[in-house]
Amino acid sequence: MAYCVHCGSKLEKGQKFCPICNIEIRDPLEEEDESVTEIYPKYVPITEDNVSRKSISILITLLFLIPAAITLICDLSITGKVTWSGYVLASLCLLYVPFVCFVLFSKLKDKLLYLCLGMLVVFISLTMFLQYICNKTGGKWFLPFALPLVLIVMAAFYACVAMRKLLGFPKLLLSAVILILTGVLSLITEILIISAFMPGQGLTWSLYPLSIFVLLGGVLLWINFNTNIKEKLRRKFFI
Amino acid sequence: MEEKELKWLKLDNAAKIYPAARRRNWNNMFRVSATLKEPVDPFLLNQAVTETVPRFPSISARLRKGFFWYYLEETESLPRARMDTYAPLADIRFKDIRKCAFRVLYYRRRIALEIYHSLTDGNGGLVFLKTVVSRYLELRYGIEIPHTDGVLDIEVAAPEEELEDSFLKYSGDVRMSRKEPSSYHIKGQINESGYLDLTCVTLDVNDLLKRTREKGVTITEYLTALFIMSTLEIQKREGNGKRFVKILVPVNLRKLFLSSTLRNFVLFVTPGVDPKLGEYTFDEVLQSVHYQMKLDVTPKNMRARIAANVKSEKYLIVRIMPLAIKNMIMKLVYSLVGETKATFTCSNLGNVKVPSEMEPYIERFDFVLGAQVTQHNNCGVVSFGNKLRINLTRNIKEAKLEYEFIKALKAQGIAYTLEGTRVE
Repeated sequence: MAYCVHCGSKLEKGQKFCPICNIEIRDPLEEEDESVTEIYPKYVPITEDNVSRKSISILITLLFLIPAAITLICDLSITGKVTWSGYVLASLCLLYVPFVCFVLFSKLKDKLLYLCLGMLVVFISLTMFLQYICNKTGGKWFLPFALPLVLIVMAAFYACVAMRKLLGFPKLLLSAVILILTGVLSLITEILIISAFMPGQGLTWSLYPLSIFVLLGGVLLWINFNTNIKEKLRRKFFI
Repeated sequence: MEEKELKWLKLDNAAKIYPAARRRNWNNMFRVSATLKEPVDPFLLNQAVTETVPRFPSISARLRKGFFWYYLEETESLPRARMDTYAPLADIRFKDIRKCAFRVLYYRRRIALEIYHSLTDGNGGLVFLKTVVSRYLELRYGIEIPHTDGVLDIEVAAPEEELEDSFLKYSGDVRMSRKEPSSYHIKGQINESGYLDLTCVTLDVNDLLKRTREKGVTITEYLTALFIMSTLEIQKREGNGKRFVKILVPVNLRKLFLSSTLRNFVLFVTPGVDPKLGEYTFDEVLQSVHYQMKLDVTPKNMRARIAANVKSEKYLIVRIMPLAIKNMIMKLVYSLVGETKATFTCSNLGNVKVPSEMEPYIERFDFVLGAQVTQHNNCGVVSFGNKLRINLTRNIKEAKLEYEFIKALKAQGIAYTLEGTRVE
């Protein structure tokens, strides 16, 4: 039992200051007992989203609609039909759709699902964008080149996510895999370019990035499986 | 799947002002809490709450907007018991009230309910708390608690009389004027953080009863007189005018009219003194408060006051006014006259009785009122066992009232202990 040195009030057990005079009071004979010290929990700032997702989405939509409308009006008033503004509109859509989807999906509690769904939308809109450009320009590269490339990048992305989240690959190992995959992707890209645009030609540039990425990835792999080296490097380079 | 039809209720007469009077960071809530002797198990508490709420359809509700009036609707998303906030009645947003108008908090050995005033008053809240705590104790210790002393049987459905708007039922034919002089307010520097400082003064009930019996008054009257004396001191020291010093004392009408409603059924009286007439001694103030209360708190008088309140919601023009406009007008009226009639509120829930099986598990009860827009201090009183707890809250930095109050206690030679929080 302590008393306030200023107002003389008797304080409840565990009360460490006088609530009226705001003076710290310590009873030297009272044992430190954590269970009675605080009558309310410690301050935790609350983080709240003052702006709702819906209003953010509406704002983004408006921001995108303005340039879209201006281009469309210009194009229609000059040429009378959708010509060059089609590219602008398609590019705006390519930016807009994933953006809004990421905002709308952000209430998903499951972060993994959020990432996967968001990226799926990115890949789908990218594919549609490429197809539109291909048709518009009268090209024939969508099916033999663009689609397979997007699908392969998509597969590589989800494979990496699965390795990290489901198989629990450590970051170093994952970096090695990503490096090697990047190298392989550059090789695939060149093969696709050759088969789509210049059949019969041999490989030229892709072997350089392939060798460098695979080499770097190999080094990381080696470090990853060599605990001794890993520990030494960690000691040297910790941040 | 067939959609479940949700029950709904009109707001009672007293509840109608609260949604309109709200401010961005202020909603009219109050808090009742019970401190047990052992730490609270949140899992069992959740279970107890889930099992108890169907018995209280008027409390487990959310506030919704109609075209003409707000109304209460049975809530589908029951609140999970959560860790207590940094200060009492903190971080409550109107958005939350529209999802569920009460919340369940626990901290260490304490179970607290914070209830929006449109749902019920302190007495209704206490019945809810006692029922939740009794169910929790049954689950926790495997004991059997009888349904007496305000612990309700959760197995049966809520009877109609618990859901009735007793104001309408007991409204008289004659209306009494609501005019009264406006009163002095304690000024201070507002806490920027918006949190409330709490000071809990604990008194010995037996000692207090001895004193009140000697004077022939009730504990509420005695405390009110002490608060008036404290406020007079502040007014004298700060020298800002000599306006009426009046304390708003809620009166539980259930006792007067034998109602068993669990919704709002309180009215208030504002006993006070006029400092212009000269200096007062404590005994003068006490006698004055005593007779003012005796004069005002009669069934006839209350009926006439209820009638005045009920009449104002019955005008056709008020009823057909769209809610948005009604809100603006009600807010204006509230800002102009709502809080001017009294210096602050001192609400006494009285002595809490619980079934004897529950008693060994409970250490104390607390009743906390939030501060209001212009009334920076408020006070909730409740007693349990031999201890009377006076929870003084304030949203200003200066502990003027608290300081003068303990000085007044000392002047009467009343022993007290203090505890409290201070917002940093």
